Order: sequence, then C-alpha cells, then structure tokens
Amino acid sequence: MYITIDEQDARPIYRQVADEIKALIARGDLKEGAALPPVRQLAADLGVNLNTVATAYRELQAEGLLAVRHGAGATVASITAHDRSEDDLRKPLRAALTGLVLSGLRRTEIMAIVGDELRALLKGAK
Amino acid sequence: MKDFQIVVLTLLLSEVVLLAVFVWLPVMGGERAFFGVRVEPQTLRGEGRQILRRYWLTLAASFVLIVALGFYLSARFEQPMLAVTACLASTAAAFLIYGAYARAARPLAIESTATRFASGLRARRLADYTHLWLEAAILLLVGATFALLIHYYPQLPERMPVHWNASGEADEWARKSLATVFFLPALGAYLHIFFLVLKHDIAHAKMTLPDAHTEEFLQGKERYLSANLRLIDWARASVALLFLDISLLMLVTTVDELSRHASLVNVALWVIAAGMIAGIAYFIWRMKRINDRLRRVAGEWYVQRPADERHWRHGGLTYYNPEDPALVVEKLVGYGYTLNMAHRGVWARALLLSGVPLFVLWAVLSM
Repeated sequence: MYITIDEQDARPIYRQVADEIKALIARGDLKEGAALPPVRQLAADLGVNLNTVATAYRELQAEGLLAVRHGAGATVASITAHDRSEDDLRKPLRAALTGLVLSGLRRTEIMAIVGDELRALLKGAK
Repeated sequence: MKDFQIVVLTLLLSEVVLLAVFVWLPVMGGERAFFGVRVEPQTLRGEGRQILRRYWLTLAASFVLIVALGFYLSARFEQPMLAVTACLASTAAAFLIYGAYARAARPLAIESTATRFASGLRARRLADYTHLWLEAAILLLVGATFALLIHYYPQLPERMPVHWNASGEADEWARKSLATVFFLPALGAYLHIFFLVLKHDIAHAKMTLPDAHTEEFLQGKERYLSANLRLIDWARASVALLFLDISLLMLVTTVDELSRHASLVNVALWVIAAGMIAGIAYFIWRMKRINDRLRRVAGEWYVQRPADERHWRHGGLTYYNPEDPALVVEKLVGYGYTLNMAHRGVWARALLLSGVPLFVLWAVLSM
C-alpha cells in the first residue's frame, strides 16, 4: 500500500497527501485502527518538509479520519468523515464537473468518466 | 609465517580490493551515476568511455608507483609501518583522482525530469526487525564474557598473553591490568551499542519509490532493507561469539585448570571467523540479487527526486542536503546506505564513532 504525489500538480503537496490517504480509506485499503507511518518517515520518503506531512495529518484529524497521538504516531480513527452539510460536499464536485464541461466533453462522456472513477474508488470498499 | 609477512600480505590484498573498488566505482551505477552524475547511455559509450579510460590509467599508475615504492622500502627496512603509510597514501590518491575525473564528467550530466513519487504507508520501526531471542543471546554472551573474566581475574598471572600464533600458542605478553584483561569485552560492548544505533538509523532510511512499478519497488526495497539489517544482526552475533572465544583463549593459556580446553577454544575461533565471513558474503550476495531482480522488472533499482540529485558531492560519494529531512539515504554510487551530512543527527553519530580511536588510544597507552 502506498501513496503518490506529483510535484507538478496544482494542488499543494499536503493536499495531495491528505487526498491520497482519504482515497485509501474510502477504498477500504486502510481499515479502522490501521497505523500510518510517522510524519518524519513519510516526509523523508517523499522528500518534503516535515510540516507538509504534519499539516496533512492535522487536516485528516480535523475531519475525524485520523487520531494523532504524540509519540505513538497516527492511526485511522474512523472510516467516515465528520458530518458535513450537503452543500459542502457538492462544492468540490461542482468544480470538477465544471472543468469537464469546459474541456468540451459531451454529457454521456462525462457520465462515463464519473462512473469509472466511482467504480474504481468503491472497488475495495464494502 | 612471521607477523611482518602476514601484515604486508594482508595490506597487499586490501590494496588489490581497494583498486578493484575504485576501478568499478564510476560505472557500477551505469548511466544513472557515472562519476555521480546521470548521463545518456550513448554518452557513457562515447565521451564517457574516454574519461573512464584516462581515469583507469591514472589510477593504475598511481597505485603501482605508490604501493611498489612503499612495499619495497617496507621490505628493505623490515618496517610494516611504511607499507601501511603507502596504503593510506594510495587510498588518498585514489580519492583525489576520482574527484578530479568526477569534475571532468560533470558537464556531461543530464537532469531527470520525474515529478511523481510514492511512499509506502507502513511504519518502519526497529522493533519490527528485532528478534528477542537474538538480543537475549547477545546479552548473555557479552555478560558471560565479563563474568568469566571477573571470576578468573584474581587467578590470572602477572604476565598476560595478548597475542597468539596461528596454532593458538601465546607469543606476546603484557603486564596484567584491567586494560589487558577487559579491553576486548569492553570494545565488544561498545560495538554492540554502535551496531544498534546503525540498525535503528538504517531501519528509518529514506525509501523513495517511483510512480511506475511502485508495488514491485516497495517489495524489493523492504526486502533489501530486511537483508541489510539481518547482515548487521549476523555481524553482531559473530562479534559477541568471537570476543567471548578470544577471552576464553586468554583464560585457557593462563589458568591451569582450564588448559585442557585449549584446542576446543582454538578450533572454535576458526569456525566462528569462517561463519562470520560466510554469513556476510551471503547477505551481500542476497542484496545484490534483490537489486538485480528489481532492475530486470522495473529497468532500474535507484530512485531519486531531481531536487535531491543536485546535492551529491565528491563525485556522488557524499550527500549534503539541508532540505532533506532524512538522515540515512541509499548510496548513489555503490550498494548500501550513507548519511545526509547536512542532518543534525550526523554530529551525534560522529561522537559515537569517536569511541573507536579512544579504544585504540586506551589499548596503546596501557600496553
């Protein structure tokens, strides 16, 4: 099990790390109670600043997905994020769909892409 | 065979090994690390080949000159120190020559453009690579060595053997003192602490993975790490056994009631030494095989971000990167691991390493 970051991606690295870990939780690869590597190890492996990984962990902690204890490292606390309003959840989806529409894809093609991504995401999940 | 001849032969052998290492050094990483820089495969065959040929010629000439002169003078005046000095000088010369040709190779460098990297999500802890029974056995061996020497200390004669010939008979003596009796187990205890720190650091070594063949890389790197740590464990167990046996050798040649075990202790010494060398050779062979397999599957076995690539110095022999949070990184040139010299932890390791000259000083002063 691993996460990938892209230095040319427009998203900041901490965002990418958090998103990758979230995707692993959503897919069911990371189960409740699973231990994550210490901040230092992940930062060294990816060649990024310690604060970058710490920020990603803190963000996941704020969403209730991770439990970070000093010294003991981080574990997956829950496999469902804290309640967020439906509007909050829709916002990023709307932005992503806007991008697809602007790229000139037809409605059916967009539906196919969304279906593919959703299937890939839910493959491992129960 | 006299000691002088053994010393000179050992030095000569180590010189041959050293020369082989330096001949191989610039090309062992292929186009990934030609004198520590990444080059195109065709550069390696063309312009790189010319630099390499000149390097080999200079290297061989300097070795032959320095070593031949040093060993001739050493044999002429029966002074092993002259041969030792020649060896040190040839090593220093090899480093200088390597550095000079690394500067010549630098203009050929190209930069990799990879931007996607991965990391495994399993926490690597020293505890995962620690076997309690092995730790208990090592503790027992070290404790037994001290206990035996303390027990027999009052019975030991004033004139203590400190050196034995190949058949286990003492041929050099020193006055009995805490240093002559307890030097070896004290050095052993120090080495065990040193090896444990080394194991801890390597277990936490940086493990950057590429975007392609990530799963294979993750498996290969973890197996490589595990083989490396088992190599250290093998060395630790061997050192514990070896130092216990040499301490026993001292006891059987000085305490009358133990002298009947002399041949057993002497045979054990050769068995332990052979086992140590065989084990180390086996694990190095395993590590090479893991890398070779990874190379077959993924086309390479070394991964590095372009941002870190620029921080290798001295032709890829040392790494200095203040931006890198890792203390231990994989070597660019050669197998195994090396330190990020910009990391603060390096000072603590240097302090620990300074124990070696202190032990040598202790031994010299107390003889």
